[in-house]
Amino acid sequence: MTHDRLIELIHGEIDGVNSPEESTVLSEHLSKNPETQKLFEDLYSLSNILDKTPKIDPPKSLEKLILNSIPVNKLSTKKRMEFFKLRLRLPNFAFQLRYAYVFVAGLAIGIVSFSILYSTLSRNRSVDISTLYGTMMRDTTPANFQLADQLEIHTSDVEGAFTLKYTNDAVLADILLESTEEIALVLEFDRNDLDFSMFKKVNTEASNLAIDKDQVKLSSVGKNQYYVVFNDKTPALTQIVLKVYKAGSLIYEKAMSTGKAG
Amino acid sequence: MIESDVEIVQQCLNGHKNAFRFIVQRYHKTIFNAAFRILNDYDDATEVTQSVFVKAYENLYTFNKRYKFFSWLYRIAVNESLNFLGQRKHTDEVDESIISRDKTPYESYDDLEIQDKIQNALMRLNLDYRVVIVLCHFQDLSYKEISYVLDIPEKTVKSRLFTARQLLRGLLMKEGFTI
Repeated sequence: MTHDRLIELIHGEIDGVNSPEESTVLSEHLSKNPETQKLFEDLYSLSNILDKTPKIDPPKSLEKLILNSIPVNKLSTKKRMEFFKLRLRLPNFAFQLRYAYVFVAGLAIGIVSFSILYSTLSRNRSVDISTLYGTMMRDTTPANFQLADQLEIHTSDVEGAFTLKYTNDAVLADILLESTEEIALVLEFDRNDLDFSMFKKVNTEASNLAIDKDQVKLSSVGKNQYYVVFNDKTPALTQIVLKVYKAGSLIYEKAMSTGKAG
Repeated sequence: MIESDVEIVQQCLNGHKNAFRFIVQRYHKTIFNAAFRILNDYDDATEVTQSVFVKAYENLYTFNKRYKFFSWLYRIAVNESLNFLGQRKHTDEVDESIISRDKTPYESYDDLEIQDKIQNALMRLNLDYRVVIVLCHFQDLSYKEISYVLDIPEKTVKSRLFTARQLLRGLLMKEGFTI
């Protein structure tokens, strides 16, 4: 039985969606594997605790607050307009369709012009890291990094490996990717726990690296290797989520935990 | 006679807008709890719950009867909660004042400590994983319903849920919590 299939059966058993045959297969496997049995019992117990978590009582006035926020009793637009005309004694202007066309045309031209101007002036956040040297580049991996987690990626669109290493104050992601078409790799992290520190690639292809406050994004095609280093701000366990996109669609996702010395 | 959600929605769309109050009565506590578990803040959850129902009311005409109304409402709740999170600073700490010692059915200090640890660990999860845990365990939605709420394939729901449970287990064990 593959690891993924085993995990699926365990969680299926917890959620009550396994068939009798699947339950039997799982039971037989667990009886021969005490560690897996422990994992199952822990997850089952955790799920029960979560399911029984008591509800939090909202403020007693919440229902009233909501109903007051909803415009259930407000006047319709037509009635409001009639009200204002009556109060302000506004004259009834004859509606001229041609003026409406002119107004809409002018508005459309204004919006298009602004959009063109804005896109021309806005800065491109993508950075081709291959042009940066000096403090951004490291030639070697420090020797005191310990292995935290690793996985292999095997899909129809991308193959590769992802290794996470750590020290007391840094996390290193060693990424190996191979694809025939362009893919986007995203590393998501909690910015309260990690800060992007540096990046290195072992190839000459442009990578269009982009860094947000809680994401590192880069594009990749062909066979490439990348190193991404984070400053680790917390002594506790934290996680990095690896996502791979092709043409904007998510094709792979996996969360990995950084290890810590005990 | 208790009217279904779809019947109430139809009444609202037919001009009987006061009927929407039945929707509010029925779901405001559930939506509040979902928002709280995602945001971990009592006042923020209150604010988001209000905006969820306002959004729902204003967009009732977009509701597709092919899906369950509460799933559609949860979708709005999750989106509003995530939008709200994007606009405020993230906090990891549980606001202990909101876990009312007078109201919880758990009288022992140990039970409250368990809930604190679970909420703390939940807040340490990546947002994608936190949301599936909230929808599955705190809102009791099925894989299919979560798939609709989050607009992701059912396979991704399972994958995130499985990973989230294992991460949660790891976080709690790291804190010395015995499951």
